[in-house]
Amino acid sequence: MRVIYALLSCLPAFASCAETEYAENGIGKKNITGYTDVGFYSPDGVCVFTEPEQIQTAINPKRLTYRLQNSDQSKYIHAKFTEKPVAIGQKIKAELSFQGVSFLKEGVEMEVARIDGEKVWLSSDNVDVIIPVF
Amino acid sequence: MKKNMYMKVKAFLMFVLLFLCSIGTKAQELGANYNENIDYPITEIEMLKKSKVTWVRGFVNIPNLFLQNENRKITGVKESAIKTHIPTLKFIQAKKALGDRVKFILSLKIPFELYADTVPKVGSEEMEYIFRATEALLQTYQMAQHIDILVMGNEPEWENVVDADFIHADAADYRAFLNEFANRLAAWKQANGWTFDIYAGALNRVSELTNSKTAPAVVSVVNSNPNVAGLDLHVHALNVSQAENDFKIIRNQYGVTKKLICTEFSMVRALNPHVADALGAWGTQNGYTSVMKIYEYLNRIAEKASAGTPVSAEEFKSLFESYSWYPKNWYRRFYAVFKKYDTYAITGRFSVVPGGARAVYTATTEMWELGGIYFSRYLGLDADGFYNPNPLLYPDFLEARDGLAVSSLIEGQRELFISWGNGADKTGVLSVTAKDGAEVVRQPLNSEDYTLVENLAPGTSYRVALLKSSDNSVLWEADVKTKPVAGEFPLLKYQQVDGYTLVQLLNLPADVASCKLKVDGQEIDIVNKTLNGQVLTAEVTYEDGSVETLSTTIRK
Repeated sequence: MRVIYALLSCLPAFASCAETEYAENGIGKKNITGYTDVGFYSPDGVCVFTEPEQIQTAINPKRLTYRLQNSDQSKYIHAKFTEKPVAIGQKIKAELSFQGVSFLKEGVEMEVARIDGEKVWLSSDNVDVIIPVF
Repeated sequence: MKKNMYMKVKAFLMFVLLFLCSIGTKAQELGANYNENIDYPITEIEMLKKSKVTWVRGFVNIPNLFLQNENRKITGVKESAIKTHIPTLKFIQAKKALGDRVKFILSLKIPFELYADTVPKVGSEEMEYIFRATEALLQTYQMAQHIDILVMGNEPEWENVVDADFIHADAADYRAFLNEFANRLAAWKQANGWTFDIYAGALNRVSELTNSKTAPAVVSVVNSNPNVAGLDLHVHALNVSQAENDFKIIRNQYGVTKKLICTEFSMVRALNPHVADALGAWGTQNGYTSVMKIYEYLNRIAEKASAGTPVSAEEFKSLFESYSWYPKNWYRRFYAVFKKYDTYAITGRFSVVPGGARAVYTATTEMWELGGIYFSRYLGLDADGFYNPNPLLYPDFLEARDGLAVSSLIEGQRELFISWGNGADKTGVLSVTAKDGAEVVRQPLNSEDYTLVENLAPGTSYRVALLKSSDNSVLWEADVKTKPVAGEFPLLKYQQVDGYTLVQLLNLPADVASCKLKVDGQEIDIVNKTLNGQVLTAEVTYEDGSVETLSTTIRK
């Protein structure tokens, strides 16, 4: 029983995924285009916040917003982009609002790394993102 | 002119005061008490759903778990113990699993008898440690957001005393402590948007402890501190008339007009002296011996239940009802008192959890377990794997529950969902009145099983009443408060309530023009018999013409 409690006590730490200097400096930065799940990734790939794990999505193509949240919104990431990502290499600013996750900054400049028919891959020093095409 | 304005303001304040003071009339709701502490996880989620209770109560021992104690003095706060206290997480998970129809009560057990100076002085370091531990507990795993009632103590007449005669209790300091505690809690509520109500208590056996100085101190805080919503009473009675006496004193002698709740009640003290009584003639007539003692019988049937061959409910019931001392139908008689004195929430012992009870009874064991609604320990499990009910209480519990006018009442941010119980007159009319006295909704029940009220303001108090259609007399009423908007982004939520699936959209911004709910692309209502499909979506259209689509997979 104690082992179970010890494991459970670690869960919130994994879920919130504290920001690390390791990730901040971009050391060990993973290639975002290798991921497939829509969601948010710390640059080192240690912290993920993706659709399969979070149960609710919200997208507003006109306002260029995308949000992932859990059932009581104790954890969410809401991204608002300044323009529609349409071309690889395009630089886009994004404002991030979040709760229950701690590896993010509120404002980031992202670069479009990949686009396919349904998804867009964006990369930055602070967070990598895969979103549905607006 | 100024005087005229003063009179208007005064009249308005009087109305508001009367509105607040009258909260909770005629709305008795049944619940389940998980006594002792929240350390034993609430695992009986499906049983709680099946029982249709609407409250769950647990308590947590603040000094034992969360305070550093040296030489009978509080010396600090165990911050990391609070933040990693998994039973807190389990308590919250149980609340989430049960949904909005079940509200949670958390009682804080703070036995000041542990300390050399009993109740610390306001402003002392020791008292600040208690407040800090409480604040941290409320912040951990969003405890504060998941409870509806916080009780600031647990039987202080017993846990604060310095002498056994209850006369020398540290009443003045306890009164000061409660006032300061309530004010701190109110400040935290204001700062964090927490909405739970603050109660004092729980006072146990009020009519017996007439010399207690703690009871009047607690009541004075309830009556005078506007941050305290009500009083918690425990009725552990020696005779069945004690429940009436306890409530009568509180309402009539102490003049408490605020809400009352009862989070523990039992007749255990009437049963305990008989734990070693012989079975007598009943024993020989039912395959036991006449000299077998009750505690031996309980051990024997516990073994049978454990082996999968429990005795019948009829046998169990007939034993206790063969004794003249057993207070038959005490549960029903207590419930009549709760109803008479407008007891807002009533949480009796729910179950005897396998492994959670004393392993073997002796001639001195207290028979708390006989006060549970369910007990697998003695009567095993039913075909669905649920605990068999306690035949001494269960019929009375069902009678009380099924006589309720309201089975479930869900307070959303902009809507109320009321599932009517068997006690409701479905030819009646639902009336919803705002704080200023204006009736904002009036709609007939039309013999429907539920009523949905929409377009209410978030975070707002209303009086809800079921009126007799012929003369508008009040058949049932309750004061409710819609939930406040708790975030800046919309959230889609669905939950099961009494055979219906309620779909809600929370946190809608002010610039929303319209909303649509859909399952697999087909538009649905807020209330549905079932959600037949895989993907639930909400289309939120804003005034700028943009549409946000929220989607979630439906989990059965």
